[in-house]
Amino acid sequence: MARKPTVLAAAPTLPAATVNFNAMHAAIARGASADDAVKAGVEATGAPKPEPETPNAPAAKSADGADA
Amino acid sequence: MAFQTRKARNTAVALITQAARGTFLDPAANKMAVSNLTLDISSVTVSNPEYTGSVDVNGDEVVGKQCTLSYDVNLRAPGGTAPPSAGAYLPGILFVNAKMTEVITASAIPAAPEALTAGSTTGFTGGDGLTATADLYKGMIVQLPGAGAGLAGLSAIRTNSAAKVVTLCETLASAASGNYQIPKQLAYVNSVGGTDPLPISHKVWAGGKRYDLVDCQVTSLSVSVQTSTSRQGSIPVIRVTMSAVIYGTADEATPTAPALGPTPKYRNGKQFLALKAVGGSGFELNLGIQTDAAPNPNFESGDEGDEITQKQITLTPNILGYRKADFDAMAMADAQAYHPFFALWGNGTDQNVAVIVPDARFTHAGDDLGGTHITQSPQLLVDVMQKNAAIVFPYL
Repeated sequence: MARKPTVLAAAPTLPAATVNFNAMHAAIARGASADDAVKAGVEATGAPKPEPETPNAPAAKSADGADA
Repeated sequence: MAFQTRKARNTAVALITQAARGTFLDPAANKMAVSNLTLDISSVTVSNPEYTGSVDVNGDEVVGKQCTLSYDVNLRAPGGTAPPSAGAYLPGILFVNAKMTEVITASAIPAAPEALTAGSTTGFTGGDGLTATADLYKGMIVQLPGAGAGLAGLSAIRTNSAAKVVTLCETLASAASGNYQIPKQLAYVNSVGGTDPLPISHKVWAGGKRYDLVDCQVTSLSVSVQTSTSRQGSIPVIRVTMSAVIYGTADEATPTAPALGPTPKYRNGKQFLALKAVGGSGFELNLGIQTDAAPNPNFESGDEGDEITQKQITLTPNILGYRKADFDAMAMADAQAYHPFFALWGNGTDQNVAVIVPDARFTHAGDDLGGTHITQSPQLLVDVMQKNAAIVFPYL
């Protein structure tokens, strides 16, 4: 007999972006982790993803123009 | 021959979420009706301290220009029969940029209404259609047909436990019974995550001149909802201010902004505070945003553009002052316990709006005797908790 998946104990933290709740809900019901559930919700929207927590600054250049 | 004049009412706005900071994206297809627009452009100056051999001082040096865009947007629901796709509800672009999550629930949960158990006037226990994840449904609208048709049958979820015990943000007239279902809805909920929102590109047409703005960042956003009465009307609005970088300007005839029909008025709905139906002249939800730009000489402007550096949400209702036995706001401020706020209004079909704060603490407020009725304006303090402030557009 198949065991019921263990679902998340608490709701995942949502990003400042668009989340498809139905997709996230289905992922949680399948036993997805918090990160995977949010990822499923964001990817189901096709919307732009939020910026990473550490923005990519332009690479520093040395005096001769090469990457430092 | 005189030049062509420019008329203030020939104003239109279009906006879109950028794919990346610093890259303008043409928003022309996303025209949005706004009001009270101001586009402030000013010089950033620094004084020149050099001695000139006299008491006279050279003029300040102009370092650059600063641009601030602000306007109001009527608070309408997206309309239609189901939530639009990501980013298609244009005012939602502002909410997301203000560090909120756009949550699209395109199909009801569960798919068919399901029988509830253990119903009370403030909650119920859900069935197999709900997932046993605590607070997954917090801040969402739930339909309880047993409580009535239309808006009367809509309530807000304050919390849900892993045992699927749902607590509401209101007190029902009688114990919940029959079925429940979380209807289709579009929601904007407070994001407490560590991700930064993407900036916005704008086109602003003013009297036949177009301003292209890039890297727009919301620096202030509030939702102002005033009660419409039999004596005076008021339109609920979103008030927003943004910092922006001018990407370009051009002469271009102002396009037509779409007419969206009447805005739902705040009346004939629900206003529950601390589980009690209280009267009042309205409320304001303020996201309390602070921004700053990190200095970086690698960038043309010398900084990396405005980012949200702090957000502290408050909700300030103006409620009728009640007797101590009916509604004791001072006792609630003294105790500093959490209480829910729930406002719901609309036409009961496709134009429904809800503002939900599941847990807030009262500040103290005295009686205001300045009008015909005694009122109070306690500020509700919103702590950093998941989905602890939400603007929701449910579909019936």
